[in-house]
Amino acid sequence: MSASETENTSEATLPENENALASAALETIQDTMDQFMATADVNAVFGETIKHQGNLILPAAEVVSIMGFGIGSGAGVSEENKGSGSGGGGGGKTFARPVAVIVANEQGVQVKPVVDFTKIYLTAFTTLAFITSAWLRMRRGK
Amino acid sequence: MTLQNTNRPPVKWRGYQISPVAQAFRFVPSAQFGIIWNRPVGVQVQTPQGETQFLPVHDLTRIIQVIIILSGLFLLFLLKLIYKRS
Repeated sequence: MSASETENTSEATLPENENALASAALETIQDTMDQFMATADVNAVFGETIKHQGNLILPAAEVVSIMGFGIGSGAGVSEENKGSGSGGGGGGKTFARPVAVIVANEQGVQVKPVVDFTKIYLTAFTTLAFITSAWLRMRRGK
Repeated sequence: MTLQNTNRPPVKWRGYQISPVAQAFRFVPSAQFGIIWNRPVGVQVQTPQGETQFLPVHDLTRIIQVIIILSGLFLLFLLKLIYKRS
């Protein structure tokens, strides 16, 4: 096979590769979007029921999902720079925090809250630090 | 921007029918960006006697956090008042 034949083959397959890459990227975006939208479902908040020693336990959590992505393309307009290109990127994060546990037993159905003491201590210390620094600034400015 | 309540089909347990309710807040301003905040609202309970009651789910951690922050701001406001007068 000559060098010119090799060049022709690679030129012929390049658009197909680009199409395959673009469709794969679109599929990934669609999957991510579907997963993101599934966060709004009730099943994302309430877990599977657990039966334990005559109790029915149903965990409940708060779920926050953030997602963003972008795509762009461009091409050279001058005679020397005729190249073109495109690209994209994105990211997202899902946070989940237990809020309560619903317990059903012989006594009835009860909602038992889940308290995150670490978060409470962090909030208290941050607030205290903020007040102390503001108070010190007030004293200096007097 | 939408606020939507969603129910799960009831779970049957010893004559009780428990149906969880969640509330989803969606903010999707464009196809490229979005936020979804989904939280439990409560459970709809139907007793074996046929009575229906709604048990709310309170986020105790968040309530305590808000109380701490508001108390801090109030304290700061009081300190400012004291320093202004003196």
